Amino acid sequence: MFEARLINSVTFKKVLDAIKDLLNEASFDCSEAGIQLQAMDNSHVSLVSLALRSDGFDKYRCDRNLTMGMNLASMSKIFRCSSNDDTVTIKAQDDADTVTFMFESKKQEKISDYEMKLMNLDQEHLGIPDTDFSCVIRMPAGEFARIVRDLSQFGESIVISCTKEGVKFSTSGDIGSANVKLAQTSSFEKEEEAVIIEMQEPVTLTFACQYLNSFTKATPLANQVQLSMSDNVPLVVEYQIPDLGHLRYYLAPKIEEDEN
Amino acid sequence: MVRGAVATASLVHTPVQTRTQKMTCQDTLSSPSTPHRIQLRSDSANEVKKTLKQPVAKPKRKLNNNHIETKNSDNHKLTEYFPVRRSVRKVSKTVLEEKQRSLEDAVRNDMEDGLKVKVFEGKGRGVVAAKKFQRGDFVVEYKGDLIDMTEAKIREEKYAQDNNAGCYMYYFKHNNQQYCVDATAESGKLGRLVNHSRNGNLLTRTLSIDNKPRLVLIAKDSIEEGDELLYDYGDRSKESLKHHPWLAY
Repeated sequence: MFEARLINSVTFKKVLDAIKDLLNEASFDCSEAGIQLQAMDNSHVSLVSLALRSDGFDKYRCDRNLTMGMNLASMSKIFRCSSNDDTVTIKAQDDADTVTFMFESKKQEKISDYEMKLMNLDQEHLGIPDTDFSCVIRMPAGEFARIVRDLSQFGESIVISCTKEGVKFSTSGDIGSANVKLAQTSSFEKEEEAVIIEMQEPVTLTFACQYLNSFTKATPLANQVQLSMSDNVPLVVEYQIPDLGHLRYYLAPKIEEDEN
Repeated sequence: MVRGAVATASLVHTPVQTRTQKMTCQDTLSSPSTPHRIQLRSDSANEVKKTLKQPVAKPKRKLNNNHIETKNSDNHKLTEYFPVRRSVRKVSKTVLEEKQRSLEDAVRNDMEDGLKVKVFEGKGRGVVAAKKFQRGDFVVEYKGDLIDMTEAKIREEKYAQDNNAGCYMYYFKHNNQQYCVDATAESGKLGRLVNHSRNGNLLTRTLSIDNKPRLVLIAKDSIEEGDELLYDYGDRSKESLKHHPWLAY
């Protein structure tokens, strides 16, 4: 039997909103340690890796490891039927082919149940090695979303280049070019607004806007976003979900012109 | 190509003729000449547009997937960086389970592969390896009658009267219960012929098959071809040592 209860169902809603752009369906791997999800988008260019720790839930029980393949659009439909301050309980039997979402309103006067059919997904798991990144940038999540949105008006790809001085996002297209430079913040008064760069070596990489834009759908989950880059390695965009876990996106770089 | 098609059109009748009709239709499209024809053209043009629109509309509906795919010809794929671990992902637990299952299968199928009986001077028959065994591999089952302790005592007394009976009783504990496998009777099975050594290359292990305990011999180390298979009978009792002094070695 599997049961996970989260008082803030809105967190789960936000997670769902953050991944349903890239994935049509995904397998939720549940174990005693928590819920994990790893899936690539159809084009195999980006990957979503979600981890929700069991201790982050208000109640968590998982007698046997189980994998639940879910259609994310359907799941999203179900969560749209809930209010933000509802409590959600996700339940499944050990060998069940359905999962139940139960929403309880704050005052317990309304309880709704939604049962959803599970899918059998034959998904590829990728073995992601631990990497020491040349550059790790932490910045306000909202700022990152804004930059990506702004720059994607001008071109299809964004060049992220990180040096000692700061990080530069640039693009160019038919109408011209755009550059946004962020300097490391010197004062650490407001942690949420800080831009912090840890750099071993300068890195410049090019990524497709479209995916970065999808990643920023996770902005409501966290105040800060962390970008990790190394040469010839996919970019990691990480959002910490407070007290619950993290959501990471991996994005393969664009093929440079001189590579062809 | 087109010329060839027209040439065959004059030879063959109906099917290709319709094709040439269509072609003239399109010809009129690209080069309008008289108002009379314009009427006809606008009609057929609509039709052409319709047929053109349909295939265009389809990919639009799939935009989510196809759109990305076409764009990504200039993007690296994640699979270039990270290895795919499809369902080959095995936790140590599943590896262990698989091993247990293969062990059970070996016992069920009475496996006696890679073994040879050899007569040793002084100690009689023994078993040697006819192939390499890796550490932990199943070698052979110690097969005989599974009996309880009371039955074992009765048999023990009977065998004690017969000096040629040899030593084929193996006592073991399984799930906190004492059992005995009696392989005294000649059975053609190889397990009973494996000789004793306190420093043998095999270990005994019990496992449960269909709720009955079975005794198997497992390779303790890697065993080379031609090595004699030996295991510790474990019997150090004074009584046994009196009858079988070799148990001390």
